[in-house]
Amino acid sequence: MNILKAKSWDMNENCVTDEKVYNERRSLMKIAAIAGAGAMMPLSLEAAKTYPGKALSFNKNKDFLNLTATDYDKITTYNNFYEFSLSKDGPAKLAHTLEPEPWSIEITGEVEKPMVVDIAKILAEYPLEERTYRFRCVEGWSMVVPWIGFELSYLLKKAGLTSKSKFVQFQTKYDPKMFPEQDKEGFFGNIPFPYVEGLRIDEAMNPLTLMSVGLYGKTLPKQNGAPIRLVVPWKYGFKSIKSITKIHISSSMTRSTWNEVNPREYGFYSNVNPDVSHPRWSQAKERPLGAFFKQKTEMFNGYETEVASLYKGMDLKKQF
Amino acid sequence: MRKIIWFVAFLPILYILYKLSWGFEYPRYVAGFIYEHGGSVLGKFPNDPLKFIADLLGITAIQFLIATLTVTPLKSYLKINLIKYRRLLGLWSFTYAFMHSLFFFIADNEGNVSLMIEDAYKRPFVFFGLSAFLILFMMAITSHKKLFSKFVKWHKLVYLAAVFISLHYIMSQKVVGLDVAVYVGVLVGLLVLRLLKR
Repeated sequence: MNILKAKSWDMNENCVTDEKVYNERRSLMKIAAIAGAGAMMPLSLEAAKTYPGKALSFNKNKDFLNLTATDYDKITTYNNFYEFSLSKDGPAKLAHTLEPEPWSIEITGEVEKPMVVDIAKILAEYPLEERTYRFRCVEGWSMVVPWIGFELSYLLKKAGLTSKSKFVQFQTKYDPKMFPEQDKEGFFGNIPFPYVEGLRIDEAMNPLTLMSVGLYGKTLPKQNGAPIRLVVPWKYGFKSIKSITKIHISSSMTRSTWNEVNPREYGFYSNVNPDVSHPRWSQAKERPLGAFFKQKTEMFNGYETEVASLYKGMDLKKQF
Repeated sequence: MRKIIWFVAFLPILYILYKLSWGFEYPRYVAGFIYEHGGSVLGKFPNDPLKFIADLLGITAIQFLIATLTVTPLKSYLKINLIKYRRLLGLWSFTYAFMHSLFFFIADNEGNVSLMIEDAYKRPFVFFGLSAFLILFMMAITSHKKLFSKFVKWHKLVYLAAVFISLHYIMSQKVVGLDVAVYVGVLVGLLVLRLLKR
């Protein structure tokens, strides 16, 4: 039996500096620094910030906490969200038009109980947990994100799967007032909207597949796909569709926006695979955000043990 | 004029060095001052430094190429004669193309020539980029007064380089945005002006 005894150096919760006090102290230090009172000491301004958004209550999933997360600042200022901009820093500046509340997800198609779920209900009642996942973009960069979310299977089980439930399609909300670029489709090559993505049912039911509602302990920033998005850590980032309002379960293979834009370059599966190059660039390595050196990309983005069995017998070079 | 060109030519390099310098910890009062007055956009280490450097070097090479190619139409259509600065502009375009290529050679191909050749063979956008660079390289080494008179007709290949660079730029994108369309549009426009002149 493992009996935990408090060590002399253990502190209890009361000893922890209150977040507010901590931050006030930080901002005071910053003011002092600007006034030139600070000595020649290194300063990490990152620590001076509180993460915006509403605090969420969640459990930490111990199985997924061993990675070091990328800085909050990088995760929230380097985004592909074509509904706002084609640039990486655009979404952080432009996504203020997104209204994440009220919000609901409509579940339709081959399920026992088609339903509409309200985001407030999800935040209050669903079994939220924190998982730190690798995130690999098809463009060759990567990051590590401490997501807060729940397993997609939880939602699908609520709706009730049938023998005809074979594929799941997700759709980003279509509302040009909230997502200005949705109106400008076609002119200078934005992608068609609304953005859709799909998973095979066994991929959707895999315990790794998350519906995320937050990161770094707070609700999702708008540029990261508020209020709710998909996270499929073993697939390229574009599969992890943002700001979802519709989930449609069907008996045949679903649509996928990038697959429709360019089927030669973006497959339906789009599993992270260092051995299968994008037609225009290699996928063998990746650039972790903020790092000066590339690192090797892992098969299924490092989740091979969890998901390789899903693709047994498939030729991953052909069904990429 | 020459001084202005040199000054402008150094700005992208200085900007890259400045952005990368944020990888080090600044003394507290310097960091605080820049954050307050320059905003976090200026005073921040790039999120994707390799891409930031490669893109900025490449774009600057294109900008100098456009400037170089604009000299002739300026003279023939608007009677503005900047012909004596054309060589300098062209050499800066080459210099940035060289830094851009060298950067890829080191960061992407690990300084391995056979990897680079394989890359160029397998990926059309690398092939076009590298071919354009070789044209600029040929022009740079024959831009000296003595050689130039012998090689002047070969310098017309710069228009082929412009086509290759346009293809290279378009093919490196996931989606062709407005900025790419403008640069390529200008390059194609200059090519058309040149063809009309014949």
